[in-house]
Amino acid sequence: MSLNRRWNPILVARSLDLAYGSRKVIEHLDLEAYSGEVLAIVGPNGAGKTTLMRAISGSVEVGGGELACCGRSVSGGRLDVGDLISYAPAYPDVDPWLSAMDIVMSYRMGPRRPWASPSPGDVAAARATMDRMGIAALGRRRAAELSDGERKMVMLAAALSRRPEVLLLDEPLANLDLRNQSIAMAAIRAEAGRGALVIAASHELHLLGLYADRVLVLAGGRAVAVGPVDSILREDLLESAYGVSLRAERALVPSLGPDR
Amino acid sequence: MKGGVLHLLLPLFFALSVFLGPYGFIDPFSHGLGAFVIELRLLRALAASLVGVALAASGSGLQALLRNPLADPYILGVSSGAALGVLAAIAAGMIWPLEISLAALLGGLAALALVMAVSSALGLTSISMVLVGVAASYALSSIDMIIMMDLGPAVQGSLAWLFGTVAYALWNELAYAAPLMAAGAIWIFLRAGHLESLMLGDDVAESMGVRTRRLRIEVAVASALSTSAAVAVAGPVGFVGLVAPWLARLGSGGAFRRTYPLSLSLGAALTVAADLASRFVEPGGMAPLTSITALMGAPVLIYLLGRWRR
Amino acid sequence: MNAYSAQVSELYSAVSSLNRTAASQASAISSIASQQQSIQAQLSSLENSMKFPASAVDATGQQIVVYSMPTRVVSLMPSDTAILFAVGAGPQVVGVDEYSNWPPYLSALEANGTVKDVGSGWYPDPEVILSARPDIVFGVSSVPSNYALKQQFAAYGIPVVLLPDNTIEDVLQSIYTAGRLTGHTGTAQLLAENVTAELSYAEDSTVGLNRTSAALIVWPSPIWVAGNGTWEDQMITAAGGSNVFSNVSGWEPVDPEALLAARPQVIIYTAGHGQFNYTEFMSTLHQELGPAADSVPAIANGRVYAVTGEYNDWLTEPGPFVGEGAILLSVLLQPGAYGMNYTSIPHVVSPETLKLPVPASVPVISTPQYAPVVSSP
Repeated sequence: MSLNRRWNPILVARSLDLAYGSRKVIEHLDLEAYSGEVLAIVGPNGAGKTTLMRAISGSVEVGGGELACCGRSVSGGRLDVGDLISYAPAYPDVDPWLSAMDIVMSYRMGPRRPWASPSPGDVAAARATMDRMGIAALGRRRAAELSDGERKMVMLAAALSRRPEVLLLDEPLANLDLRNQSIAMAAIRAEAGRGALVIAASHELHLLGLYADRVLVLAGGRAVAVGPVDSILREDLLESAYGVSLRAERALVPSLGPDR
Repeated sequence: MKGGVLHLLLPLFFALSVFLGPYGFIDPFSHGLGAFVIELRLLRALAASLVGVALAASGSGLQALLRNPLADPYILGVSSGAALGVLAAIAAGMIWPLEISLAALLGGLAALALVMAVSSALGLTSISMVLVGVAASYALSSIDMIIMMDLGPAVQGSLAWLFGTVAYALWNELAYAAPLMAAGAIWIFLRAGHLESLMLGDDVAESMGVRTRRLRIEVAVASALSTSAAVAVAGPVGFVGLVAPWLARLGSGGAFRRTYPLSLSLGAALTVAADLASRFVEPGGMAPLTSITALMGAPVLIYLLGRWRR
Repeated sequence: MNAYSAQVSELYSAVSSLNRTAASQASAISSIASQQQSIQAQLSSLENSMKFPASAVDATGQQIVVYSMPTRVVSLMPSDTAILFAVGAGPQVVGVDEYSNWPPYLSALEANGTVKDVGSGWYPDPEVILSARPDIVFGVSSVPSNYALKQQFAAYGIPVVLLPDNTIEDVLQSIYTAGRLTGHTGTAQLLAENVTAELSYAEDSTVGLNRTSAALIVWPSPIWVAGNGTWEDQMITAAGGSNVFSNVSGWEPVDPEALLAARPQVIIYTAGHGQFNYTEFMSTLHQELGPAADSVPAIANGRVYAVTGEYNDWLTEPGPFVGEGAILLSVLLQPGAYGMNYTSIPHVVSPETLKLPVPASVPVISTPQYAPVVSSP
C-alpha cells in the first residue's frame, strides 16, 4: 500500500445532519477526506452510507451543519458539484435498451450541450476505460442482456470514464466474481493514484485491506470510528457497530489486479 | 444502418406527396386549378410533417422522462383533454375550424395542468405521472363519450377529427400551431442531454447536476405544448409518437442525443407517408390517419426488431 | 331592357324568316339546324347575362356572388343534389357525393361519365372534389368538415355554399338559394310554392282532428329519435300529429324507458333502403322495452310503420320532398281523414305498398327533364 499524500481535505463535513422528511438518517457527522486516498465506509444496513453519498453527490439536501466538496460548500440546500464528481449507485437503474458503450458515453458526456456528439477523444477514452475494466467485449450488448455483475462493471467503467475529482462508489464489489473484484480493486487504487478521492461503501470487510486507505464506520447515523484500515478492523469495534459477534477467519481473496 | 440515410425518407415522401394524388400528376408550374391542388397538397404535407415532428418529439421525450418504453404523447391525458375541448366547443355551437382547433389546444393544456397538479401532490415521480395520466385519460374519455352521445349528428362530423386527418388543415391554423409544435420540440431538444443522463437512473442524473423534478415539469409541459398543437391541427393521430422513437433507436442505435433528431425526422416521414397513402386507400372518404400510420409503422417496427434480434 | 328586347325580336324574326325559306330550299335544312342551335345558344347567354351576377347568403351568413352561370356544379349531400335537380340545375351538375340517389337517372349519368362520384360528403376529400373541376360547390351547414372546405376553397375563388338543413324553412331557403346561384330562380320559386302547397294539403286534410301522438325513430339501437328543431318534427305537426319527443332537442338517443313513458299512438321508423326491416325492428324494440312493450299504444294497436324506399328519403332528407313526406305522415297519423282505416295500412310502408291519396290538384315533385347544358359562346 502506497503512502497517502496529504493535501487540504477535498471533502469536509461539519456537524452534518441529513434527513428524509422527519426521519433522521445522519446526525452531527464530522468528516475530512483527502485527494488521492480511498476512504471506505462500512456499517449496518440503514446506517446512512448511501444517504451520505447521495448528499455529497447533490441529490439529497443538507438539513443542518455544513458540507463542502471540491471547493464548493453548502449548509442547507443541495451541493452542486455534478461536473466534478462521479457516482455509481449500488443498484443501477439504467434504461435496459442502452448498450454498454452508450452507458459509458452518456456518463462521460454528462447532461450539458444537447447537440454534443462524442469526439474521437471521448470515444477513445471510453474504449480505454472499458478495456481497463476488461469489458470491451460487452460494448454493443444492451443493459437488459447483461448479468448483474456485468452491469456493475459497466457502471464502474462509466463512472471512471469521467475522470472525476471525487468518485462515489456504492457497493462497488457486490455481485462481482473474484476476477472482476480484482480488476475493480486495481482500478480503484489507480484512481486514487491519479489524485482522485474514492469513497466506497462496502460490506466486504475482508477486502478492505487490499484497496482502502482509511475506513469510516457509520452506525445509527453517527460516525463510530474513522482511521486507517488496520486500526478499524478490530472485533470489539465492529461487533458493537454491527451488533453481531465476529471472529477472525482465513479467507481466499483475489490479488490486486488479475495479472499478479 | 446509417442514421444519415434514414433522414432522406422525409424529403422523399414529402416530394411524392406534392406530386401524387387523386387529381393526378400536376406540372408544378401550372396555373389555375392545378396550382391550387398543388398548394393544398403542400399544405397537407407540411401539416403532416409538423404533426409528425411534434408527436415524435413528445413521444421521445416522455419515453425517456417516464422511463417507460410504451409511453406515447397521450399518456398524460392530452388527447382526451383536447377531445373534450373540441366536443365542448361543438356543444357550445362553434363550428368554424379555427375555433375548434383552439379549443383542442386549450383542452389539451388544461388536461396536462390537471395531471401535473395531482401527481405533484403525489410526489411528481415518473410512476405518479404515468398513473395519474392514465387515470385522467380514462376519466376524460368517459366524459367525452357522454358528450358525444348528447350531441347527435354533429358527432358524425367530429368522428373524422377523432380518427385524425390533415385533409382539412388551413394555413391560419398552421400559423399558430406550427410555432407551438416547434417550440415544444426545440425545448425537449435543449433538454436532450438531461434526458440522456436521466436514462442512467435518477440518482446518477442528480449526481451529474440534473434537477429531476424540474426536468419532469419542463419536459411534460413541452410535450403537452407540442402534442396539443398537433392534436389541434390533425386530431389525435396515434401510433406515430409511440413508434418513431423506437424506429430511430432500432434504426441507428445510440443514446438519446443521437436518436432524438432521427426520431423527429422518421416521425414526420411516417406521417407524411401515411397521409399520402390515405389519399389512395379511400379516395373521397377519410381513411383515418391513425389506422394508416399503424398499418405502415407496425410491420417496419417488427422487421427492425427481428433484425436486431439476430 | 330595351336593347335586349330589340335583340330578342331581331333574333325571333330571323328565325321566322328562315322557317319560310326552309319549305322551298330542302338543301338549306342542315344550315338552318345549325343556325337554330347558335340562336339557342345566344338566347341562353342572354338569359344568363340577365340573371348574373347573382348573389345569395348561405347558412353561415356569408354572401356568395356568382358572376356567370355555373356550368360545373358539385353537390356534397343527397338533399343538395335533389334540390339542384329539382330546380332544373341538373344538367349543370358534374359531381355528386356517394349517397346521392335522386333523380333515378343519376346512376346512369355517373355510369356514362357525365357526373362524377366525389366520395363522401361527410368527410370530403378536397382533391377528389377538385378533380371534378367545379366552379361552385354545395354543402350543408350541419357538417363541420364542410366549413373547412369552404375556407380552403375560398383561397382559390371556388365558392362553397353551405345550405341550411335543419328545418322546413331551411329547405325552402335552400331551394331559393340554389335556384338563384344556378340561374333557375323561376323554377325554384315554382318548386317552393309546390312544396308549400303540399304542406298545406297535409295540414288542411287534418285540421281540427285530435292530434295523434307519434314518435319518429331514426335508429333502433340505441333508440335515436327526432326532437324539436328538426324537419321531421315539423312534418309531424303539419300532418296532424304531435311529437312525443318535442322536449328533446335535435336528434338524440333516448332510453327505452322514455319511450315507454311517452306512450306514442304511432311509431314511425325510417328504415333506410332495406338494411333493417320491420321484423328486425320490432324484435329489437321488444328486446329493449322488455315485457312492458305492449303497454305502448302504438305496439299494442299494431301502428308501427317501417318506412322504406323512396318514402324513407322523403322523411330523412331535408330536400324537395318534405311536403310529400308530410302528406305521407298524415296518412299514417290520421288515416281517417282520407277515409282509410289504420288497419289497412301495411307495416312496411313504401311506394309499392302504399299509394298516397293525393288529388290531381295537389302538385307533386316530378322527375325533372334532363337537357344537356348548351354552353354560352
